[in-house]
Amino acid sequence: MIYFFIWLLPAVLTGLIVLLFKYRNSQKNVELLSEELRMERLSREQAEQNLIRQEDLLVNIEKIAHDLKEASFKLVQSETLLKEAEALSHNGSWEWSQEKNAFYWSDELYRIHGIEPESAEVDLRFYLTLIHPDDVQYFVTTLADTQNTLSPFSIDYRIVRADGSIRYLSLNGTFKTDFSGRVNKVLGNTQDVTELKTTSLKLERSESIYRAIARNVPDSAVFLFDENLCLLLAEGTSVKSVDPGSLILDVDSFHKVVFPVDHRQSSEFIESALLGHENRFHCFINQKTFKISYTPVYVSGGEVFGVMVVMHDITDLERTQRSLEVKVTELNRSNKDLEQFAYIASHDLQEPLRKIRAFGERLKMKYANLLEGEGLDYISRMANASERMQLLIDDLLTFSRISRPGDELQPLKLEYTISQVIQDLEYSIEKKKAVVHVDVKHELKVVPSQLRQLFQNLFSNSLKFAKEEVPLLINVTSVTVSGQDHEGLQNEKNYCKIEIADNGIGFDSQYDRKIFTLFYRLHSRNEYEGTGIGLAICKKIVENHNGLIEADAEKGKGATFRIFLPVE
Amino acid sequence: MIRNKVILIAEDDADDRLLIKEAFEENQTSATIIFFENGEELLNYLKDFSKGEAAILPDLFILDLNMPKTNGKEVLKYLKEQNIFKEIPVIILTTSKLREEEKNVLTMGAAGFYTKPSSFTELVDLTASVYRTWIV
Repeated sequence: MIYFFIWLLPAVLTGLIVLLFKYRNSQKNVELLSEELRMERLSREQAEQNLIRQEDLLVNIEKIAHDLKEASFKLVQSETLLKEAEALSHNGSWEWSQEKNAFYWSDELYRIHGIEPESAEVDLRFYLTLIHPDDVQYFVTTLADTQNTLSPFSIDYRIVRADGSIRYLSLNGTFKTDFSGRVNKVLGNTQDVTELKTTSLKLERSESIYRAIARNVPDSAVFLFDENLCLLLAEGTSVKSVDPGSLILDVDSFHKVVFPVDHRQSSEFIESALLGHENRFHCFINQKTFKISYTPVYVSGGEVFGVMVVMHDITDLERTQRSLEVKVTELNRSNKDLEQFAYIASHDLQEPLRKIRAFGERLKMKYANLLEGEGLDYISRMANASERMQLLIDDLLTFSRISRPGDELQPLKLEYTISQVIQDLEYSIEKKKAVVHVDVKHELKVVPSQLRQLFQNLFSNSLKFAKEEVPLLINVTSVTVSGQDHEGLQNEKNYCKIEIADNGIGFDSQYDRKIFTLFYRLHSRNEYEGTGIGLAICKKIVENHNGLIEADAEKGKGATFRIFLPVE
Repeated sequence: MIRNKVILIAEDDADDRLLIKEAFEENQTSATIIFFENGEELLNYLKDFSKGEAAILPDLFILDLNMPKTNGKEVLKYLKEQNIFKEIPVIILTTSKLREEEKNVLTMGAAGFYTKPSSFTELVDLTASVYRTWIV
């Protein structure tokens, strides 16, 4: 465009000069006329007529001057428009002339290169310094190649601005030759395509990302078909096992390869996906189980542009699931066995023991006077041993019978249960002259019989390990605490903390965990009776209720048991 | 004529039969005790009553629960279905400590549920109590 106007400018100027010349000529004409007037003494009317003609002329001149002004205004306007257009599209124009061996650059082209317009003389040598070092060789080679054919050319390359920023440019050029065919000019324009390039780079990256995702979905083959049912993408670790010969090119070949016998279901799902519906089904292919899903793929406008078929090889998953199911069955059976064992222990194991005790008693009752010396002692030792055995079996049974709570969870006022237990232990409490303070207000959803057992065991423990010389004092309190405040509890839950503290003989704190293990005892049987099961039962009960039990003690200074039970 | 009270006991365990017998003896009860080694034997014996051939009805049944062939519950069910027996008290004496079991047999009509005690003295007390409660 600009050349057109540059071209136009001399023509307009010439027109102006011609007009001015004409005006001067007409001025001359006036002088000539007035002389004629003097000489030929024209009549007044004639003179007046001349005057009118003269005025006409003046009007004409004014009009021409106005047109001229308008034309030059339009020229300026067009030039401004051009500049704006160049700026907007980041498109600059240039011209290289053989004569000057230098470039003419438009303002925008300067700006594209980060240079103040017309602040530098640009020749090829200078220009090469602006190009990104990695692209210089390519630029030069391409330029050299174009000179062989002299056909219009384009080069994409990068430049580095003075501030270090990198811009992507796209250059288009044409050769102009003179009459002899010699190149005298190269014209062209150069566009800053950085934004375009970064967008396409982003696009490239996002494509590479989704390819990577598709490739790395474990045990899967991902096929993407466009709306014409041509294959756009086949990625994933299972592609090889689905399509070993790489025969899939479109939906037809996909069906031939994957469902050689019957592809009706798949065809139906492909069509359904093109209408925007999702479907999936399981299929057995090449001795593998696949979960195949058909998903419509949308453009941002919301239209379906293709179908994604994901074939997920779930053979291993199914196998794992099956083995898990087998394990669960085994576990259930082993649990049943354990229950069976508990039953055997309760019935068959206890039976002979009961007989040993009963007949031992009979022996002692009927024949004690016939036994001599140590005979009686032996019998009473046997009786003691069998009584202990009985206790052991009973405790073990209690322990094994503490089952996970199912439907038997009931709201229970702890205070009520505790008072019941205290009543049951009344005899021992009186014997030890013990005082029990209870300040418990909580109501919890628990298995009542298990909670009763829990308090029974803990109070019995306190009573058993009371100091001989000091009256026993047991303090029972309960408060609500947050799970966050205590290690080993679930953060988001609230707990009822029940504390049972006594002033008994206590124990060394190094055993505060061990005492909860089955059969663990801190004292010999001569000192204190017991099976070593009581606290293990407590622990099992508390854990059954998703709680936590811990002990805190100092030798000679009493023991404190803390129970945390979740609050609804 | 005052006759001896008759107690029919179904108990498969020979030791328990001996212990129960001795326990009753220890109490110096004058009851006639007839033992059966399982429920089937007891039911066979009871058939004669149904036919009206035996004259003297028992005064108490004591049943073990776990027995081969016919178990205690089956016997209990039979007894409570027969008009001539249904008023006679039935005591369950078993090794089981299960509450459900107790509930179960009491609903079926048993007069009492006892777990076999682990000491002979307790067994003596138990038999005495049962005798006092249901026979005298």
